[in-house]
Amino acid sequence: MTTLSKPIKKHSPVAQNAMSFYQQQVEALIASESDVALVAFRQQASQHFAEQGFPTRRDEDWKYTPLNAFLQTHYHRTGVAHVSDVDIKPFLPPFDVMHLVFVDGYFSERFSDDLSELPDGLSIESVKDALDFKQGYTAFLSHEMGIEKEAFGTLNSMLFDDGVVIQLEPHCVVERPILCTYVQTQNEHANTIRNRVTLAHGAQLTLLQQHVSLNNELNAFDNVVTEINVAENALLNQVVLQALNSSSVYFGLQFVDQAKNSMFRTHYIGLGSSLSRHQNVLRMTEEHIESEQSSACFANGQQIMDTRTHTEHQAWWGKSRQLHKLVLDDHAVGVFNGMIKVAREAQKTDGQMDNKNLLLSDKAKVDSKPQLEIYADDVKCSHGSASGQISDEQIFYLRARGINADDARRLVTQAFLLEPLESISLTPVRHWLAEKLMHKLNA
Amino acid sequence: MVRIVLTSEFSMTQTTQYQEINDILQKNQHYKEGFFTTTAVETFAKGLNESVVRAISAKKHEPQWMLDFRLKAFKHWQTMIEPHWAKAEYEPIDYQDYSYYSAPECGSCSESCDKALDGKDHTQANQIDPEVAKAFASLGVPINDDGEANIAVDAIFDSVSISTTKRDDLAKLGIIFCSFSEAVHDYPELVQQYIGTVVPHHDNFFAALNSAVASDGTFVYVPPGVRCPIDLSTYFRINEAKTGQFERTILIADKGSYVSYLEGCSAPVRDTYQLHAAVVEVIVHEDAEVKYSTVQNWYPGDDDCQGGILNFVTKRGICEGKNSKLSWTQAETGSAITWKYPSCILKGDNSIGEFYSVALTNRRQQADTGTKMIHIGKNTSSTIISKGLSAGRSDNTYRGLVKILPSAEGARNFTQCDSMLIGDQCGAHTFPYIEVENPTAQVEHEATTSRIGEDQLFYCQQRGISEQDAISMIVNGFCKEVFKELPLEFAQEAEELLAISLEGSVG
Amino acid sequence: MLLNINNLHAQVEEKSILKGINLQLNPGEVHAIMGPNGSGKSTLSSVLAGREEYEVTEGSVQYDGEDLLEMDAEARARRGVFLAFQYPVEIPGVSNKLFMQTALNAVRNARGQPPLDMFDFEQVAAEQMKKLEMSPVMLERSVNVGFSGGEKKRNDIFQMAMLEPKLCIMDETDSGLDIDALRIVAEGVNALRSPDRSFLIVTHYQRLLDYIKPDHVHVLYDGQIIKSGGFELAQELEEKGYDHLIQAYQEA
Repeated sequence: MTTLSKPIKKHSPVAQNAMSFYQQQVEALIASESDVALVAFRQQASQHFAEQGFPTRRDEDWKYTPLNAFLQTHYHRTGVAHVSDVDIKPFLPPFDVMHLVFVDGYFSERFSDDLSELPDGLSIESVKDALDFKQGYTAFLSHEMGIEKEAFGTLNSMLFDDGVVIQLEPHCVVERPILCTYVQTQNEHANTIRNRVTLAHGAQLTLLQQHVSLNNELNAFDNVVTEINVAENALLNQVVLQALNSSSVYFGLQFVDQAKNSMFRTHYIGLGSSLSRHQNVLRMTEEHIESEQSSACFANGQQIMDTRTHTEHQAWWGKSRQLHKLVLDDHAVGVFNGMIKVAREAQKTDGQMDNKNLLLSDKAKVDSKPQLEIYADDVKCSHGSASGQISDEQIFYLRARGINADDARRLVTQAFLLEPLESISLTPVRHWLAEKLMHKLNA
Repeated sequence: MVRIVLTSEFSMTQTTQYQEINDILQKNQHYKEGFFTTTAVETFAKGLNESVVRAISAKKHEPQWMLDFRLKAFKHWQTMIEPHWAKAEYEPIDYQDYSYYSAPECGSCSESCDKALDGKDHTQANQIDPEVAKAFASLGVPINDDGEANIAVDAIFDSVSISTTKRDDLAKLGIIFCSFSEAVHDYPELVQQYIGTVVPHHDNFFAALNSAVASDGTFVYVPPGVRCPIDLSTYFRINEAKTGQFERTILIADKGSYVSYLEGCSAPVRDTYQLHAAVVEVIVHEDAEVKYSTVQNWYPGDDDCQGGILNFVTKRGICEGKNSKLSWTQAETGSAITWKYPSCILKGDNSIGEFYSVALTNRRQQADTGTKMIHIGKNTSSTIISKGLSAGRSDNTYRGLVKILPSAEGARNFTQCDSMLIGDQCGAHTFPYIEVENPTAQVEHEATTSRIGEDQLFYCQQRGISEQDAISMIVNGFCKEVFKELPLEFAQEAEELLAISLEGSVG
Repeated sequence: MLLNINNLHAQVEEKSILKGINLQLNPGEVHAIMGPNGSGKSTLSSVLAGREEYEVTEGSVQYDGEDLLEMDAEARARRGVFLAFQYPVEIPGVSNKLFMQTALNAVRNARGQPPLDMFDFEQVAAEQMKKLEMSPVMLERSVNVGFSGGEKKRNDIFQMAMLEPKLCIMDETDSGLDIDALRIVAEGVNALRSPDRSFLIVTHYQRLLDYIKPDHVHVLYDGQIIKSGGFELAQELEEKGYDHLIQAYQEA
């Protein structure tokens, strides 16, 4: 008869191979590790991963994200390859930043700005340093944000190499944006990155992160977990630019905890990877918290781009805004999955989530799942999703003004895709990102 | 419980249902004795296995093909797992604790009873259970052929169809309107042609269960070019405790035809969950149109929704031909748990699917309902309007899929999901799935969540309207877009149900 | 006396807004309450109409011989207190017809009159709408949904005409209205003036008063009436503004 216990998850041979491969990787890592606490941490993650395994398309949250191709390649940890200044230069933006460079997942002192001359109240360390000096060590490893619920979060805990730890003291306002550039240089290499950003009350920061590949031939795997704490009255503006080559794989998980009267704004720009998945998990636990999550992604060829957000309103007067746009050409697949959850205690919540998708080819595909889960009655929540192609009416209007059809189409597509960037207040940053998007669109 | 078949002799001249009931009671006086003995119910022992499935089929004198269908479904069901993905929490159901067949005890009656059961002979079984008649009368269901009502009714009491009115009038037009059991005997080719084509026996857990143990249901066939002049309707009532109801309804609208079909449901107070797992299959051919309306008011259980109906229903229609149209309208106010997604497969070019829904939950009710619109044909279009009202400590979820396949050139969908929360202990959720694989498609989805505004209430009160009236007025206004799709009497019934169901939720 | 406000104090969210209002209205009189933003004008209308967010901390209001403050909002409405809203509220899906029939029958019931059925109601409504030059289509539309500013005000006047109140409180009805809409409101009010109906017109600007010509004008500032007079006071305010009055009050 029917059994009611949870069925034991069946993994394909490919998935099983991949799982044992990554378990071997962690065993090797543990063998060379001397720190007892870190070893215990990785072991725990490893045990958890053995039970959890890789998700399959039968998992509700992975219905639209195929992992087959990813699982067939085994991404090693092999250490840092040699790169030169010339290699890194092209990735520098045309405006002033504090630049931190990570090569193959590891912090590179050579290419980064000098960290000994930071403004008062700002501290930046690589995770390796933070761990070596045992500073904030326990704090770094302890997390309550549910990283282990995500398979790739668990994998990250098992295998992370390096990352950045940024801390702002109370009322420290950093004007100059910090840019972290993660360069992948080796084929079939895993860059497992773990970041932690902590803003004390009243602090303000603009943090830019870009993921890039050294060339177009390699196929590497960026697995990033970023934990963010934004304390009372603090403000964090964040931009993640995923501009890997079109063979690589990107998994980004961001866990954000916000306190009273704080503001968190994040923009994700998705351009590269054969398979990418960027996910924000926001917990708005105190009153008067504001957040904005926006994204602009353009996928073509065989790319699969998955953007997802999980926003939990847990206290009064929260406000969240989201605008996510996907443009899909050729055989590309786009996914948007958003959830706004409003707890019983979160009265007067104002949550809005919009997803708009443009399909440029008849082989492109989009799956959209904007969700609301609401337990408080005095709230204003809405979501919208629209998918379609450029309207003939718009094209005709432009043509009637003398613009040729191709230009018209490009103009409309550009305008569509650039809208989420409008809320980036730093003009040079906005222009830089817009240029990246347009470069790909017009290629 | 007794099977009742009303023949025309009862029903020529009566003007009101109550008068009719009195007449029936008088006519049945001399059956009183027999009546009491026959109320003994023949119920299979609780439990479900292959021999139970065979026995159900045997009791119904079914042909081999129907038994084969049941057995195939049962075998498949055994390999399946009860789904729990819906946003509803309940104890796993012990399927062995239900009885799967409940019908009149036939020990004392003759062959005729069996004949009646197989639907071939109506004249012998003139007994009517006055309680049953009264029940339907108080529900406002005209179960007699009084010639006046502009509606034909198939009334189903627990597992059996007790009467089907207006059949002769309909027969003149070539319209078949009968119980499912009768159709199996009388129109085997039609049933075989269509059963399981829209909802296969392996479709889902509850559909498989239904296919194995289907009790009764309604069968409708509208021939080409015929516009059915009256509304067809089925009224379901669950009476027996701990008996599952598994009706199977098949509705076929042949080329160029039209039919409006209504369905109402209710159940009395019980202290154990009653299981209702129906399957509805609708086939709409070229240029045909079907309007399918449901007012569901199954017993929701006590204040904690203990003992209410578990309503796990698979309803699906296919717009098979060009320019066909299928429209689902539902007002869901009852059941402890509702799990229901009336869907449209838009296969024919230019076909249209519609889903209009009002779902109200109160107390600890849990509703997880919505629709699936599968666009296959060119220029197919669909509209989804869903209004969810949550009160008390209930949870109300809209879950829907809009899927545009690569072939669906020029497809259109518009979805509007609005939720209203009444009180701060309930939940309102919206889980849409949108899958687009054709760039010429336009898919739009909007959802909002709100509550009755203080300013709206004050505005009404300032004009002298009481708070309770103001709430009911605002709630009905919220649901207007859906109610206007319901046939008039149904719309009124739905509005009243809403008011009743909301009672005590505010104040 | 129809309305007697005595030393009325009120607060909202612990913030004191009305600080001792005294005002008397006799049947048939038209009073205007004027004052700068934040003086408490809207609070006064809200307190009189029975909005629950406003808490009366001191004082009394007698209406037609009864304690007005004891009644809830609908009881006040049924006894003839009508509030014309600054921003009439939208109620989607509820037709004007159903709304007004429900309201009118509730008020009629309170007056001991029999309810009007659909036909009688439609007849009465049609007459009033004709007088107000309203299209009958307005009855079928949802209450205030998609109405222009002018249509909303006209709808309020229509409701006033239907409910035949004794005391009409116009809460800044003129804000944001163009000259045509302003005239609609004024004409409506003038048409409804009668010896047994009083008006309390709350406004920031004098322009509405040019059309209505109140019998008495009161200036509200910081929760108190700082000056009362005839129509000429409104004209004086138009010329000199509120500042000189406030200054004189503060110096006194």
